[in-house]
Amino acid sequence: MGILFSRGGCHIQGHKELTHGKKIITLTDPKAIGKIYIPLVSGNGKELLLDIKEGDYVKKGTRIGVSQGFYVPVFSPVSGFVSGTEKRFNSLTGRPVDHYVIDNAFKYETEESLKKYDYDKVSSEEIVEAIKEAGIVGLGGAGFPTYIKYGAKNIKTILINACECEPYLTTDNLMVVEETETMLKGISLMMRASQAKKAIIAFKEGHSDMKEAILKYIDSYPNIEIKEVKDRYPAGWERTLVWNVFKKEYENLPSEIGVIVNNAQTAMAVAKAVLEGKPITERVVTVSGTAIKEPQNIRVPVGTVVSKIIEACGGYKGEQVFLLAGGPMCSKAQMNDQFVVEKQSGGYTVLFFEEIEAEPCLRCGACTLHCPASLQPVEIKEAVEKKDEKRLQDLKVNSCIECGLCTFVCPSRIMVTESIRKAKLMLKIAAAKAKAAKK
Amino acid sequence: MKFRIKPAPFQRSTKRTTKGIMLELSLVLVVVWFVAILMNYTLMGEAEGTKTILMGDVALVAAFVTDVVTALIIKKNVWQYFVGSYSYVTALIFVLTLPVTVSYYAIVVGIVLAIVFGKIVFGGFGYNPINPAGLGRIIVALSFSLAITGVPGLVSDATTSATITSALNWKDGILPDGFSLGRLFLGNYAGAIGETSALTLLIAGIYLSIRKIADPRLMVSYTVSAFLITLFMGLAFGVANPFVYGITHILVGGLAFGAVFMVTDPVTTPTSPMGKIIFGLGAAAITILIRVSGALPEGVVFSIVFMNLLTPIIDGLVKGKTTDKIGQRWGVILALLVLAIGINIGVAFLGGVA
Ligand code: SF4
Ligand code: SF4
Repeated sequence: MGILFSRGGCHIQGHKELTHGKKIITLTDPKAIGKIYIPLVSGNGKELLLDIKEGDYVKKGTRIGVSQGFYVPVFSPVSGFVSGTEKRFNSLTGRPVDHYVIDNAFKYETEESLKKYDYDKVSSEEIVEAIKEAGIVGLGGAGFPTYIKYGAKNIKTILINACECEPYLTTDNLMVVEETETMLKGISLMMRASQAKKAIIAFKEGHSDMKEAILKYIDSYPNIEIKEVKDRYPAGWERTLVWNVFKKEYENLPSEIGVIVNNAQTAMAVAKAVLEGKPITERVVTVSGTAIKEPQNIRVPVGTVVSKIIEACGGYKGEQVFLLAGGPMCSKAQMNDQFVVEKQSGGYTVLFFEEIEAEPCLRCGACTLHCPASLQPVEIKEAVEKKDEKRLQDLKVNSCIECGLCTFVCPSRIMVTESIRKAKLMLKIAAAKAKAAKK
Repeated sequence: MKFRIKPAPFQRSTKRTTKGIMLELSLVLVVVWFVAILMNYTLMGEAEGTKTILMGDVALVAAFVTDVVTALIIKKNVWQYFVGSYSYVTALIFVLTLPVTVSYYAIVVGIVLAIVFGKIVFGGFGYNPINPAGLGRIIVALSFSLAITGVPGLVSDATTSATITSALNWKDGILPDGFSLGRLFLGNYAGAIGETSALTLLIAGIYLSIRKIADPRLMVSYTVSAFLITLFMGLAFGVANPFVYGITHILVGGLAFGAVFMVTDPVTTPTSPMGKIIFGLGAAAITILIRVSGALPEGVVFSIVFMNLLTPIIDGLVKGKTTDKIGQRWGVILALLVLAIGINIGVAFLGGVA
């Protein structure tokens, strides 16, 4: 923090102890998993171009279709018949969409549709191609197709994000410990793909288990380093992370300063895609929070219905809960538990319902001093109240990453972040109106 | 199972609530009040000591009654309204800016008007554009000037029958007999009850900054600007020791009290770091202008209330991110400081003060 400015952030309670250190449970019982549902819409809201139709028999790894817009293939996580199409709520788009229903045969017959490459011989182009064909996306939650990042030139460093700054979630941490070598191999492949000379694995200080696990193997990977960053939310946000590691800023993408940032689990997925020809068909998710009976990490096929996972964790406590598709700082509360696990889902947080009463704004500026995007949330809030679009434009509303810190720190318990979302919406509507008026 | 919906985030800081902040602030104010009571007992006598106690009590009771009546009129739960209106903070700040010679009548009128016209008419706590305690103080200064300039005889120290601020000659800056910077710092002289001891206020200011109850940017900007402006004025006036001249300015006339408890009122001051610094600077410039060229001792309160009115404008000037154009922003601050020094010196010469 400077006298005139702030890069924001603050330490927030992690609640990681609820699941950290517990063994990962694999859900295998057919009844416990139930049917598998594949949304026929990708995160951008566009329908998939389908390869198979209802009634077809698919195996684990059979390509179901591919997204429109960015090319991302979708694979079947299990084997069985596609028995129909059903509308269900989708957590990525926030609305009900069609899903293929796969009657899980629990045979786990596998189709090897993707090419495998030799670790020592695979070329830069082949790696990118393999990542693309396997449909690898950012597994930190963003779900952005990974191969696109590798189109950038002049990359010097791969930065691996293992910060997992959302409270409650522990899958990144556990997977780094569990699959350290796979991750390191994946990182090496990513370095080769981008011709980066160096890679840095960043995690929050105090995570000795990750540190020990990585240090055990790191001697065989001379160009990979570790870097511990301060436990200040949002340590895992790309800009904050890049600033903390390199003390550099960028306009739009970290590739401008020669950096590609990828999540730790994405590195593992890259290794599996390139070396074993495997797409992402299963995933470890954290189920945690105050209102779940047995918080734990649980390995399930992608497409498992969340209610099944909740059952496997002993069910809900209490009568009224918030069910969040992710951690408590950024994730939306879901209207039911009938949505499915996506490949980029890191976990689910279940919290007791509570109502918090707000007081008038003290105008203390705490939100401004904590905003990691260095915005002025209180000023944005006031401009929204006054419907002052000009001022909203001046305040660079669209730089907000909706990290939730402004609401978190507010002593008057005001939902400041929600005002920023409103501000964004107001500007969007204004822009649309302006466009319509021009025509 | 009922799934509830609410916008993220779902985790809140457990550290601070506005209620907690205001309560802790008032505890600090109570400490300052106690120091005032002690000083008035030991330095002046029992009558003054008791009066200091009663002054605070009267202000608090008057504020409480105002709240209760308001709650009854607007049909709100009395206790909830009282807890959320923070009139007790207003009352404490207000009363600490008054000298022991003030009449109880003036206190009651001041606090009631402060709460009604400084807060309630705007919609209550959080919506008031100007510092209510400051408004109350101005009302008292304008309508009861006799009540505060001091009734001779009540104070035992003959040199302090008037406040030091009005006794000081700002042309040469020479302190009256018996006064030293040390005495001004400790505060063992007559003046507004909470305003004289710079030492107490320094400790209070540091405490409030560490506890993040008040923003040090405001306090430091205000005092340092006042010091720099008067330092250069001292140089321009050719006073014997410009440094001492500057220090004297920030030790007297409630400047330290204003810096710690009034300039820092978050509701009525800008929210951005840049805005806070400009606010402090502006308030300092006007304080000195009123004090030296206007020859009025109430410069502190007037300047703060005036700057309160400019707060929306200052807020509006600070655009974008706080990390934007740092160099340019420092340039603006420096330019404003130079301007403040220039205007103060210029007006003093034109007005024939110097
Ligand atoms: S933190 Fe809350 S009370 Fe403080 S300025 Fe921001 S919105 Fe207002
Ligand atoms: S939610 Fe947006 S405005 Fe609020 S602190 Fe985070 S980035 Fe800043």
